Amino acid sequence: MPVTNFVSRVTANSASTLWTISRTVAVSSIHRATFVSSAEGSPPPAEGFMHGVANSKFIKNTKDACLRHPELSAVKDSETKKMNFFTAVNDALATALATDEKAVVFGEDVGFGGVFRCTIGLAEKFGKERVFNMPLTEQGIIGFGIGMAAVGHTPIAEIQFADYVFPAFDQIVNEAAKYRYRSGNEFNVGGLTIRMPCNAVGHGALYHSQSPEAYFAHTPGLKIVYPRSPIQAKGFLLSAIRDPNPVLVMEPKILYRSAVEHVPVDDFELPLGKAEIVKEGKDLTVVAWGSQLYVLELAVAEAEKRMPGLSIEIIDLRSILPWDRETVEKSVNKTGRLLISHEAPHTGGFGGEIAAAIQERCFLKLEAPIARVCGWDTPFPLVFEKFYVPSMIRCLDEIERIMKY
Amino acid sequence: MTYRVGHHSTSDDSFAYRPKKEVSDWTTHDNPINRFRKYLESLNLWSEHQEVAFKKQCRADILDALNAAEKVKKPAVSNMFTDVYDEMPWNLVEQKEKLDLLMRRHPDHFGLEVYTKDDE
Repeated sequence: MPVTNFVSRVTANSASTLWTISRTVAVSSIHRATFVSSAEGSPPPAEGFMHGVANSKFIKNTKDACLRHPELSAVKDSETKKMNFFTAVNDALATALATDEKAVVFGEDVGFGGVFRCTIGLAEKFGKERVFNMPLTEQGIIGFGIGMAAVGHTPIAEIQFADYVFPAFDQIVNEAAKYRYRSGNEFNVGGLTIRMPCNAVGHGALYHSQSPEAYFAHTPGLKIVYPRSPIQAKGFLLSAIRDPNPVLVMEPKILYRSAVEHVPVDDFELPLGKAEIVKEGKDLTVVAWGSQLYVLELAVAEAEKRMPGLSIEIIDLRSILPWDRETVEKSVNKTGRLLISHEAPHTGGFGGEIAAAIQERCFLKLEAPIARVCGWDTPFPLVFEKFYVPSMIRCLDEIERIMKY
Repeated sequence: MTYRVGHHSTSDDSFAYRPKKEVSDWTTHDNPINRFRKYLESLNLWSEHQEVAFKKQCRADILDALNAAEKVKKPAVSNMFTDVYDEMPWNLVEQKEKLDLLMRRHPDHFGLEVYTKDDE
């Protein structure tokens, strides 16, 4: 029972509660709001992973909803097609191959469609010289891509799972990222794009679930983008391919089939380095990227139901490097509270960077310490996945805690 | 050299990228298990009859083990935090306490009845 829980927490914590009440009464009416049970009773159980995607308000279910987005104004007269995430990736790759004769697509099993079907039909359509398999060697795949990019091609490499990018870490961090800098801009590998499926999937265990964005966020010279939907999958992949810097595209594998929306058929790009406010609010800012957005959407809806009057702003960070500090900063200056949530472990996660930057710039506006709801500092477990991930219930608890601070 | 005659996983259809004949050839020709069996049979140490009985017994043993395993509770949730290191550092101790509190506050949410309790 949420009410009983709330009461027992309040009584268990009476000293700090008195202080909290005296502090919050003066601030805004939202703090005085009572927590009430949701109309539907208890939140959904931890099983049924990603139950939020199909009904998400962030998904564009119609042509109008899709084309109304201001970022898509350049293709406002385009036809749209219902695509899932992997079809949208496929569409972007086909667009890149058709518009750039120097583009090539390669990776393990890519020639016959890829394990997630992202490259299906491309070898048949564009030829085996442009869409092909690579041996089981990630450093070989990326090294090959760096070489091609250095002589002016547009290599689009697939790492089959982000969990297996680490053999290529040296190539990415020491070669790709430093190419322009160490040659004084004489050479660059800006044509290189690296796609990799990441995030939890419900049963992926240690080696098919990880989200390694923070390792690469520590690497000057790279860009990192994290699409959350089919529209973003297409738009960001095309931006990444055409950006004159090496770009990592992290694709939440749980969304390949589960996220379906109307996507413009025409060629379009979305801006790298820009976050998107997906829901406006005034009392708390929550920031996430990738599939975690849908977990937060559910947690926010539940929190707003339990605390009438509460209004939470949700920001999809979209780009990890460079990240859109300005949008987060403006939002936190308005709301005074910030929660960041990611699946990767808490310690050293990208949430730490956001928290540090925002407290530097919004210190006097903050009403509560910046909160992080992340994976625990353990390897990604198999049998304990639902206890490990920053689940809806954990996010909800943290939202309630911040609002009572 | 080794050759995988099965699919990579339950979600893999390996005939999308290799001919069926290649797999069936590897199953029959030069298959080290078959060759060893034939070698044993040539020495009268093994027979078709023993092979059939042995396979049947193995299948029954595996099904028994599966059935038994399905009745066993999943390990205690605290196992998530142990064996990351030889001893739990402060961050894991703290995170384990946070999760314990969360599970106490939402006992029905996690379906805890199928997990072993720490004191069991």
